[in-house]
This record gives sequence, C-alpha cells and structure tokens, in this order.
Amino acid sequence: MNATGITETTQYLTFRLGDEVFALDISKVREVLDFTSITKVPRTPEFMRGVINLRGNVVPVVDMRLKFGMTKTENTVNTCIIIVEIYLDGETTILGALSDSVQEVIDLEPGQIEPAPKIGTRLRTEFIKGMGKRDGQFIIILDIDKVFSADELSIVKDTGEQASA
Amino acid sequence: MKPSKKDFIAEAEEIIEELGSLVLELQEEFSPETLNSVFRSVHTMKGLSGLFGIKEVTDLSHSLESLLDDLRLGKIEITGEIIDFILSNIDILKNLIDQVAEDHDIDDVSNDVREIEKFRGVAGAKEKESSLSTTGISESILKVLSEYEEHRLKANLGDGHGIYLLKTVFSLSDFAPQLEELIKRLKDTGELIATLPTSQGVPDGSIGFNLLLGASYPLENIKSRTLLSDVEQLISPKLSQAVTPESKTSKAKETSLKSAATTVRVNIDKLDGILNTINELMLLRSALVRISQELTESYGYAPLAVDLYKISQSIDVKLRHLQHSVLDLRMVPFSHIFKKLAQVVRRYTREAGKEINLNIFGEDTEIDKQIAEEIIDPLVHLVRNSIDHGIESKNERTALGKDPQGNLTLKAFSRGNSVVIEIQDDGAGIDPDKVLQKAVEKKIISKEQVLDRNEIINLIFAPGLSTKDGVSEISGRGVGMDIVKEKITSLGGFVGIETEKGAGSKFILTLPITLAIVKALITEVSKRRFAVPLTSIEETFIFTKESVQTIEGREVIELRNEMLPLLRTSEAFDLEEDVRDEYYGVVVGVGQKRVGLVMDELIEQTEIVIKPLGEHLKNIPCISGAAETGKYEIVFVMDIDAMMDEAFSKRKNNGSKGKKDV
Repeated sequence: MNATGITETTQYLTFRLGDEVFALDISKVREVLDFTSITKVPRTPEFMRGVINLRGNVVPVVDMRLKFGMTKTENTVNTCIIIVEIYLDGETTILGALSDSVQEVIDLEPGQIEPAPKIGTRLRTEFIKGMGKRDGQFIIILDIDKVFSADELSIVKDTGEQASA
Repeated sequence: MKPSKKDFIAEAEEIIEELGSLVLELQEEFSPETLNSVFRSVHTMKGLSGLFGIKEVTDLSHSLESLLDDLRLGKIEITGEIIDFILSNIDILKNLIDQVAEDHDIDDVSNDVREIEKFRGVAGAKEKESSLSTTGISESILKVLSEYEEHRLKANLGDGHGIYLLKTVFSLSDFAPQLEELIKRLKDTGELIATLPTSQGVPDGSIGFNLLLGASYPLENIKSRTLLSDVEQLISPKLSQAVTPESKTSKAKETSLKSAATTVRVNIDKLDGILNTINELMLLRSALVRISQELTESYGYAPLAVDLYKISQSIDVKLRHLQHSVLDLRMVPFSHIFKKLAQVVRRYTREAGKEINLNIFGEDTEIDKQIAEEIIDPLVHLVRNSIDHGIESKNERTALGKDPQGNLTLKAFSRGNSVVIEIQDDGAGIDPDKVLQKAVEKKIISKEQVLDRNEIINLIFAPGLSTKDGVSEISGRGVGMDIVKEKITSLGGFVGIETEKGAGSKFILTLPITLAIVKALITEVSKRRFAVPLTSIEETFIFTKESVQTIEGREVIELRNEMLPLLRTSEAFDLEEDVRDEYYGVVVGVGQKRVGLVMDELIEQTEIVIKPLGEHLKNIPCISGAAETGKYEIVFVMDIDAMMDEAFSKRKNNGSKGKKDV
C-alpha cells in the first residue's frame, strides 16, 4: 500500500501536452483518433472545443491544454483525440480529450509511482493520481474521472472560472 | 378487421394468457399477491372490453371481478373448486374473444353471469359456518389478530388445516435472523398466519414469539418438520370436505390454444435501433454518391462510375422505403387517445354535475406511439380544465342565454409534418384582466410592465401562476398549465390558445408526427449551421437590413402589415454577427406568438435524426440536440421554444456581450 492508492501494476497510455508527459489508466481509454474537424457548440466555455461525430454518436471534445491553463491546442499532424470513458453520476459517458501527441503504452508498478506533490504543478492536486517516473522523466498520472467531473465541465459560461484559469 | 379491434384482441389475449398462468400459480400455491394480480387482470379486461364496447366480455369480467373481490376480502374461501370455476370462466372469456376476432356472433353470457352469482351465494353461505369464536382457539390469541390474519386463519380452517401454536424463544441479540430462518422453514410446512411477540415466561435477555401456523400435517409431523418441541395443537387437521358445487368443467367448450391475433408487440427501442442502422446506411449511401461523383469528375462518364451512381440511387430509394415502413410501425391512431379522453370527460362531467356534449373528429389521424404516450396526461389535463373551469354550470349557461348543454370538441388532424390537436369548449373563456391581476399578485410580472392581450393570456403558462387557489379566481385554466406546456415543448411541439371571454377557449397543440426523424431546415448563421425543425416554421422571407425598425428597443419588421419581432440568431448563440445587406427571416411560433429568426443563409431542407448532446452538454441554452448531415458534419438543432423565450424575455444585451471576452 502506498499513498496513491495504486496497488497493482497497471498499463498506462502516455501523451504529451506541451513539454509535459501525462498518463491515463489504459482501461479508461476507448480509442485514439486523428484530429478531425470539431464543431464548436455555441455558448460553451473555450476549453469545450465542440463535438465530433463518432459512428453516429455525438461526443464532446475537451481541450486539455486549455483546461490545464496552457495555450490552446494547435492542430498538427501529431494532434490526437483520446476517446475516454468517464464515470459520471453513476453512468459511463464518452468524451474526447485533445492532446498534442500520443506516446506509448507503459507498465508502471506501484513502487514506481509517488503521490502527487502538494506544490509545484499548475494542475489541481486532486486531478493527479500520482507521479510516475520513467527514463528520468516525470509522468503525471491523471485521475480522469475527476478532471472531467460534472463540476469541472460545468458548461455554464457565467462561471467563467475555468476558462480564465 | 378494423385496427382498433386488432388492438383489442392483442391486448385481451395477453390478459387471458396472464390470467391463465396466474390462476394456475394460485392453484399450485395460494398467495394473496397472486390473487390480487388475478383481480387486477380481470379488472383490466373489464375496462378494456368496456372501451371497445364488447358488452359480453365486460359483463362476464364484471361478475368474475366481484367473485374475486369476495375472495380477496375473505368473504369466500379459496378452494380447488373455486379455482376450477375461475379457470372455466377464463376459458369462456377466451372463447368470447375468439368470436370477436373471427367476427362471429358473440355468445350470450347471462347464464354464465348467473352461475357466478349463484356460486358467490353458495360459497358466501359457507362462510357463516366458520365463525372463529366456536373454534376453540383461545380468546387471548383471537383478539390480537389483525383482520387480515383473522381472514387467513378462517381460510386455513376452511381448508381443514390444523392450527398450531409454535412457541419459540430467541436471544434478544440475534433473534431477527433466527426468526427469519424459522419462517423460511415453515413455508414448506404450512402457512404462517401470525407472528405474535410475547414476553410471558421468557427469561431476561430473550424474546419469545408465538407463531400461529396453519398446516395439514398432524402434530408429530409439525414437530419434526419445524424442529420445535413446544408446539400446541389448537385445531387438529381434517381431510378437506368435498363440497362440490355444480361442476362447470363439462360445460366449458374446447378452447383452441392457437391465438387469433396476427399482431406482434415490439419494444419501441428495437424499432429505434433499426432506424439508427438505417440512418447510418443512408450516410454510407451519401459516401457512395460522393465517390461516384468524384469518379465522374476525374474519369468522365466511365460506365463503372455511372453504374455506381445508379446503384447508390436505388439503394437510396429502398432505404427510404424501409425507413418509412419502420416509422409507420410506430404509428398509432388517435382513436386510442380519444377513447381514453372520452372516459375522462364522462367521469368529470358527472362529478362536476354539468351536461357536456363531446364531439370527436379525426380519430384516424396517426401519431408516433411514443408521442401518444407522452401527450395523454397533458391532454387529460386540458380536458379537465375545460370541464371544471371552462364550461359553466347548466344554470349559469341558461342565464347567459347559452345552450344549457356545453360543447367540448376534440379534433386531431395532420398538417404537413405535424399533427394538430384542438381542444375547444364553448365555456367562459379566459379573462385577460383577471390573469393580469393574478400575475401581478403572484409577482410573475411587475405592475409597470406593459403587455399586449396575447402576452397576458400566455401568462397562464407561467409557472407559479397556476396555483390551486388561483383557479377559481382566474375564470378557468389553472392547475399546472406550465407543466402542460413543458411537456409539449419537450416533444418539440407548441401550445397555442384562442380565447374569447364568455365565448370559450380553444387550445391548439402542434406536435411532430414522429420523434425519430424530423424534417428540418438547415440554416447558416455566422458560418455556423443550425437545423430548425420544420414543425416550428411558419414561413421564410428575405429582408434587407434597411427594413428593420426598432420599437421599444426591440427589432421588428413589417411583414404583410403586421409587426414581427426579430431575434438575431447570432446574438442568441453569442456568435459574431456576419454583417450583410440581405438576411433571411425564419418565422417560428404558433398562433399570434411569433418571432422571426434572423439567418444569413438557408441551405437546404432535409430529414435529420436528432441525437442528444449527452451528459456533459445537456444544458446548453437554445440547443435541443445535434444531428449529422450527409458529410459527417454536425449541425445543432435549435430549441425553438427556448429561442422564443429568449426573444420575449427582456434580454440585457450588455450583460451577455460582456461575458464573451472572458
């Protein structure tokens, strides 16, 4: 047992936002898509980039860079939409997360993961499940359910807090 | 065979089937719940046949229902004979329904009804013999039994079961699971009639239960089966008496097990699934067309490209055919709805002590089953309001010089892609002055606000106005009109009112024929595309920016000598306005409440499947969903009702503009 609550060796999908490497529990990832045209939904905050049509389903796409206070994701050949399954109010919903590039799938043992630092990241601590380390680089393991919780994605523009954060 | 009859048979057969299995269940093991289910099924059958006017079935169901009611209340005890008797009557019911199905003459049931009454008499008489005071069961037990327990005790006595008193003592700390286990064990032995806690003769820290058990086993068996030693036999079991009232089994005709209905009931979700697949196929077809066009462009009219195009065209025709067939499966005639409403009218008319003449038009008009289910409550509501508050009492009407008999008209007809339902009464109508007064009183509007007559009348849909105490004061429409409106709008429809004080009111409901596929106009605003459901659109027009006038801060345009308020769609969606010389106006609304939505371009009219935006985006203002058009492109569907509200609410322009920069 350690402070992160991670007790088993788990596979993670790593991806980049700017210079930083992030990771997601692979069981939360449904698929990875190339960047496609996203239709902006009127009257939603900027980080809500819009919706895409995924085999007949309307799937919202969130710009994680904007969400984490970076600049807007630019569309490059490496830009990807990671389709994740979010557990929201007792139901699983699908959501797309924009990332600059998807890296690889890695195994991390519990011993390789440390609890989230209290300071020093621009991310809110509760978004971070733990910090992994690999080849000398830190990997921020995200708690994707928290990042995309209903409160965090509150689309009422008036609260403006996330958009300007 | 008329469709309504088909429906009756399908439903009636379902009930008969259910009844059959329920009664058999009852025969195997009596349980009060099963008996209640049987009672309910027969009751449904009575209601159903009444609705379709099949008197014989109604009469027989009615008698059967009375018999079952007697059983339920313990006036008659359940015996094998009664079960057989009920089964034979169910067979008779099935025969009657088969006769209806085959358009044969329907057998006279008066004999069968008499049989049931006779049986009720015979069985009822038996009941007197089993008074409990003479049974020898101690008074101290009898007086603590509930009515139901008493009835079950009688039932057990009637069956000739022995009655045993099992005395148990459990430790206070864990008596609940222990008792539960014991009760489970008792189920195989007999019926637990009552569980009576006791403290008499029980050591400290323990609790005693006296269990009253009805069982057909002798005392020794009870002891061994329950693993209890302290068992007192109150009544010894006897062999059940063979009271055989006239057996009916011989009389029951051979019933064919083949069902006469040729209809299939399908869960609407399955149909939705098929529609979804068809929709995806249609998108694939668009891709085929595009490929063939690109081929033609690159290689000229090569035979293969032409073939491909032709095939994609025939696929299109077949797919549309398929789509319409599936949509057609979802359609039900209005006669269903109207019949339910007619019942409501009859009931409330009687209760209100008024005389009302009900006229129904357009029973054959069809509507999507899903919508039909959803609108029944709002319709009942409107009809009730008309009866309660619209139509005056006989005396009032005579005094006013009106026909003493009130008139209520229900009308359904299709108009283009919509179904219109009208509910019209010739009652008191709505008094705008009173509505206004009430609205000010309830602080829904401020005293200073100036509203035109229409706006005032539409206030009856405002939440909060329609409180119960308001009903009598506002000459009529009251309770929950806001809910009616909400329901209709959620289905993509509108509610309109035409009313004249003293002359009556007409409620006009406009609804889409189906929710599955919607015809829509694709429009463009600030380079974004939006779909407007055609059901909401009255007309479209072109106007120049010079023709826009401003009245009291609102933009309006003169359209055929009437002032039409305009709503800048770009503003409603916080988009940057694309300034141009000419705009398109899309007139949406119902009755006199209309608004012109300002669009940059009108693209095409097409059929769309509206998809929800999902949990994350469910509360976006003015958008009711998304739809995909041919090229995998997503368009948003406008929530016209919210747009109208936006247009009519005094929107503070500065407030919303300021937020755009955040």
